[in-house]
Amino acid sequence: MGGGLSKLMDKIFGSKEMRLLMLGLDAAGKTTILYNLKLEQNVTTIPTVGFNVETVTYKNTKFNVWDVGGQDKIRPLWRHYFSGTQGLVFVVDSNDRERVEEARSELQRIIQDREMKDALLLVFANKQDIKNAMRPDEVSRRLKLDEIARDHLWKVEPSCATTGEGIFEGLTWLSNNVKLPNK
Amino acid sequence: DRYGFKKSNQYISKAEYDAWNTNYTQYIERRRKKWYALMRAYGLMTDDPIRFPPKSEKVKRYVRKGIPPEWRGAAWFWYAGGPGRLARMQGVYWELVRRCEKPEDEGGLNDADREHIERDLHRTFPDNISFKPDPPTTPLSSPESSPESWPDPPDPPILNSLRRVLRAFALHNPQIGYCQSLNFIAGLLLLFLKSDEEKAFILLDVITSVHLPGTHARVLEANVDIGVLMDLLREHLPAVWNRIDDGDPADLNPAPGKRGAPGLGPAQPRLPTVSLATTPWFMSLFIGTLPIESTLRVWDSLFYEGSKTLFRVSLAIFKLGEPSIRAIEDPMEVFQVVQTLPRKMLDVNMLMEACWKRKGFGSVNQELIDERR
Repeated sequence: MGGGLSKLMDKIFGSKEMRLLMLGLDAAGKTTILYNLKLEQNVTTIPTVGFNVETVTYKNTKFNVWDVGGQDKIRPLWRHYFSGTQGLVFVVDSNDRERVEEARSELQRIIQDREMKDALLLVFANKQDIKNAMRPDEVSRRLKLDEIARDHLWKVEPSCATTGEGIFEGLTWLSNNVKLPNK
Repeated sequence: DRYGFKKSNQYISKAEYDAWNTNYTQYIERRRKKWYALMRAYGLMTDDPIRFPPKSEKVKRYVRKGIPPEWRGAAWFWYAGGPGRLARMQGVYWELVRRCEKPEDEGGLNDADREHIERDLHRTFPDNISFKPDPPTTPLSSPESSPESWPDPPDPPILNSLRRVLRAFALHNPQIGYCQSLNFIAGLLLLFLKSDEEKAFILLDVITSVHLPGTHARVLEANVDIGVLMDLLREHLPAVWNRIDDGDPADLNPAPGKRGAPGLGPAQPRLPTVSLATTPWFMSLFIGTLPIESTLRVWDSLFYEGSKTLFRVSLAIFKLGEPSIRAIEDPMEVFQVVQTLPRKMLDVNMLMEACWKRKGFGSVNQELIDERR
């Protein structure tokens, strides 16, 4: 089948492509989420130097997910490749109250970047399996989402990367809210 | 496996590993016999050697075919000029280790680096047997205690060594500090240097100053090497280049305001998006990119021949991957294919042959690399 025809079919049946950028402080669980999406199993992960990129198809939407390495000093290398990102997935370790402020300033910096102005924001309040983890409303309050993401459509989704809970719910929300590029 | 890593992962199945390993084990044995003969010819000892034959065409060939695993660390140290450096830096390492204990304002290590190191420590080779903490033993005396109340198992000795090496290195090289990926490099060094911290420290210094200058610096220059690699790719493998080059022509003449995002410094030619997949090839010296045996073989040549090895191996990966890259239909898949290609390259002999034998990559010599950097 030619590319043109399949694109037409996609339009009729509503299949779409979406480019996601997954960010968050180091050790928040980004890579674990990525591979849980891709393989539907839990894999041992190591700090990501650079990127992991995987394509996942879920409910008619092809997600191209970029999991970006955690340490901030490596990031300036590629920030200008972020244009065209339709969704920002920000992963927070809900059990790490000490660094939630650091997470907030990080998120604020990214979301207010010019390249991100049209992106949806999905926050995974990750590591919900830990007993005293912050609940989603506490995460959104501490991240000050009302304030820093007021120009964006956003949602906080409780998740547990190791079991996969919440992850597909998050994708569904992204898929339902993405604006198709005007073409 | 023979180094304490897991044999299989999400890219290579146990069956694939076993199929390859049967022949490769015999191959190692054959090479080992040759190395023994070589060492005896030079009158060098073969029991835990620290000295190796002087460089020559023959020895270079031997190194390219793989150093016996048990001699690896010592041979790396020898050919990288370790003994000379160690003599010049006598006692420096242990002095740094002592200084690391002090608070920052008394010449100790800053908190940021200390914290970053701590965070990555337990995520360095968690699948390797030496890096895994001992499983907690059930305390017999208090049968009522629940697993949650058991103390964390103590760090295995190699993690303590790794912590000291990374801290000392960060203190010694303030222009680098700690950078993710150094944990893997230092970890692998320790594994093969039988946890000799001082030697691992020296080799880490060699890698970051001689082989990858600037790559790990606070202001990262990893893009320099990637740019050189992309140039080489365009020259040597034009068919691959054409598939991965997605540079927006408009970028060559940027509209005002499009370029020069804050903190990026002067405008630099935009590299194809896929080039980002090669960042860890350089920063981590192929750890996590190639299967472990392949990584070690690359390191054998790296320490003997220098950083041109990294570029030749990278080109060989693209060369071997050319059919897969050309078969891609959806441009979205390109990145994923390039990222996954090397992770499946278990057959290191084939990789190394593609690297050395193919006419063309031989011209990628050290002078060329140094000039283009």
